[in-house]
Amino acid sequence: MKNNGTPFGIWYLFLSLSIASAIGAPTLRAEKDNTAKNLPEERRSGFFANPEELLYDDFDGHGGKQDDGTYLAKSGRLSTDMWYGYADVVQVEGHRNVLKLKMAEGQMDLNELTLVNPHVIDVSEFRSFSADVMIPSGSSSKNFWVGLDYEGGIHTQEEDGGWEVWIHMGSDGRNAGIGCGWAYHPTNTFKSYNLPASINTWYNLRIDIAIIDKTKIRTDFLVDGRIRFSVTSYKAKTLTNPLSMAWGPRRCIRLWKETNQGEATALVDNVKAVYHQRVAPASFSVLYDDFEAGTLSPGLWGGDAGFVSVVPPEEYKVDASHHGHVMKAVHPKGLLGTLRAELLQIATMYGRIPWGKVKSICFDFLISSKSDADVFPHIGLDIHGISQLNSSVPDGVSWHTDIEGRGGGGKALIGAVLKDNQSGVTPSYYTYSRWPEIKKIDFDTWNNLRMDIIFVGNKLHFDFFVNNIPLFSETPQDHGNPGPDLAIGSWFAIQSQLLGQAPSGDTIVYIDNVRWVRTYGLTIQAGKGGTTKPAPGNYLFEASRKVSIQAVADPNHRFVGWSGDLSGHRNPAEIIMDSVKSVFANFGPPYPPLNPSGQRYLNQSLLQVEYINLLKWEANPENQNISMKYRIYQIAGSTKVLLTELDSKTFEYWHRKVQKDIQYKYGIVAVSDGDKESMPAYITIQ
Amino acid sequence: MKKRLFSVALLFFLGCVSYAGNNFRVAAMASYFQPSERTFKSIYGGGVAFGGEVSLRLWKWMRIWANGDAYNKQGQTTLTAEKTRINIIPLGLGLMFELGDSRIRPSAGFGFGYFRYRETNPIGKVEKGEFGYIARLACDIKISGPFFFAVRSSYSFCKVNPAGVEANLGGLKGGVGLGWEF
Repeated sequence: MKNNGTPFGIWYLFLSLSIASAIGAPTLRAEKDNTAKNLPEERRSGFFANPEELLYDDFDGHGGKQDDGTYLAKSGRLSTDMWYGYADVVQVEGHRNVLKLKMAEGQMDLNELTLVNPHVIDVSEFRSFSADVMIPSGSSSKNFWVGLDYEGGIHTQEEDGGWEVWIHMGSDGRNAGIGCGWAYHPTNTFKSYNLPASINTWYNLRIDIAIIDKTKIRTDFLVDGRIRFSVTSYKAKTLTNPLSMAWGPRRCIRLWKETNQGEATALVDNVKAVYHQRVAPASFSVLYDDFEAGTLSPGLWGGDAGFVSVVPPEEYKVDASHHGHVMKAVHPKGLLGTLRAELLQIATMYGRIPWGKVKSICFDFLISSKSDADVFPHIGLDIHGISQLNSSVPDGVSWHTDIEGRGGGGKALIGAVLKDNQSGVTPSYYTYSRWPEIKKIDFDTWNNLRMDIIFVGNKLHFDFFVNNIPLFSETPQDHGNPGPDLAIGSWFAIQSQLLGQAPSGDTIVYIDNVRWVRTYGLTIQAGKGGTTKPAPGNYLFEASRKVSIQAVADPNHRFVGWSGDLSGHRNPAEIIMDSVKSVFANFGPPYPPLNPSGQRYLNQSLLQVEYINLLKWEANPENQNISMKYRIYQIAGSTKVLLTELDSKTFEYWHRKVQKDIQYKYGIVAVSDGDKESMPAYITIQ
Repeated sequence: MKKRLFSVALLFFLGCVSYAGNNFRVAAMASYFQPSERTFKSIYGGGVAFGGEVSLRLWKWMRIWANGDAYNKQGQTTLTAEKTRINIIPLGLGLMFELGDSRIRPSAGFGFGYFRYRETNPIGKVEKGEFGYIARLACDIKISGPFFFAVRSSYSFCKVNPAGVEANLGGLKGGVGLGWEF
């Protein structure tokens, strides 16, 4: 540990020990890090990342760019799409809006903001986590710090095992220092450093992680772009195995006050988390697992190790011809609480898929007669989210819907649950809860459970099915309906939960053919001069669906072609919804000629006569910047015959030798260089 | 009917020529033709026609005559002002009544005409023939020996409708010529 000779160094030792305690390492010892002698060159600036991969918030509305071009970040406030937790956003000179973390007199411990979605971003995908941090003068607390934490837990190791890296700026109210450190359980390795710093000064604090090989991760700690410390951890193989991640990794902005005396304030801006090789939200449409690989795919499933496994048909000996290998989930005897096997890829970069993007969830489910518990847990496919609806709801609203089985005392049941509880209210209560049409089933029989999500107006509507027979339907009311845009939060999982009474025996269920179908948003826009069918707007379509879109030009305009995720000028055009799509229908130029008119005239010599239809028009000034010519078509019913093609300076045409008593219809089109014709200007001569 | 009458008159005329050679006159004429129809005038207007004439005495003051000339003119179509050309060759045959046998011999006559015509322009081309009528006033003035000075005026009428529009190819014609009397 470096000691700069100030009281802060001593303070920081306590600080570091507190952090390690917080993540549950049972025995920690401070060590000098040997790798610090081999620091990389200071010019190294970490790595470069595609800006699209940035999870970024400057609190001015930039960051978290979505597929549709919108941003998750909000200006002047904390985006609930990006953050879990509470803090003010205030304006300061030179930084516009910044995050203000504050703990008042009488408070202590932690004020924490977490970037959403702790489960999807694997350690091996993590690259950088940084923020601008400043401790303003005026804090009366004598011992507090603010900074960045990156941490996770490993259930496959000892219970409550974990790891953490951090870079912080601490203060005793007058002086400041910057420290960093890391702790890896179960080896109890814990190290820290610190540097002097100043009050009222912004510092960019940053953690970079680089995977060296399958067993080593190097962590660099940077202050204002310079690497100050570096460490190479071992046991990286454990960290980078998604099945080993019981929770996290989490990215937190934390303000910690060691005592309840005094007030502590810190400012944070430009929070940036960078990832590599993340699973793109658009990379899947339908997730399906029949478990015939004989093992759980580590890229698909994560969560509590040991809760689920894949077993061959010999194990359950029921309808093996149809099901082969299946997932086996066991809620063991005596366990109170929740076990979870998560579908990893369902989460997006930000861990939230709006409700409106989920179309259907289904799976086959069997409750084994070998289950000998007196009380069965709720066990099934579960969607659980945390959404902060609006300011009228005092805290985050926890959402939960599942279709599941449960039983006990020799009964096996299937039902569905749709409920929300306001987690900020104690005790939690359900504003809506339903297990209304419980369906009794037999043990050792497969049943297909399905939940479909559709819209009724702007409200989500849920349909629950058992073996494709409707079980019940519901449209939650009021704030019980999250609407299409709010997000599914933390997990989408096979989950077993038992609260209140420890089971006397094991509960064993088998699960097969898990299928998750998502929807994709389609944004249709039309330029000036036309519309589309369906009308311009935002739509959701089931993944893989083929959607037909027709461009409809206004009178005097023409459809030029598609842009966005469609190209060419085929009309109507079809688009396959295999990702979020956006299409734009472009109309004109060329625009049709103006003021078309026509009249029939007699032309004769002494002995011969002919009738001539004289067509006249004017140039459309909106075509002035493009090279033009005109085509004259004679239209008869649904057929049109090209009569002539004229240069751009000709504004009349004589159609000769027409019949005296016949009605003629003409279409005059402007033609651009690319041989694109405008909509016709019509003339009829009787 | 007109065709038959014209044929009869032509045979009669040829018969007369073979019969006598009596007081046979031949003349070369230059005329100015002024069409009577307004459309004709506006499209082509008047013009010079060159032709010839023969006549012989049948009985005392009655002579039979035959003539022909060619009227060739260019004009413009009414709307498009495109070039149009007409060619009319009227062949006339009739009787004329001559007053006296002095040095100045005025006459009046009437006969049939066969109007051969052709019009060419961007609208199209027509080429046909049609029968019509000719009335004429003439005066032959003896100059010296067998030569005489011929003065002619005539009015013709010939309605045609070859392509859906009716027109009169006739009009007034006045001309002079030099003749020779046998």
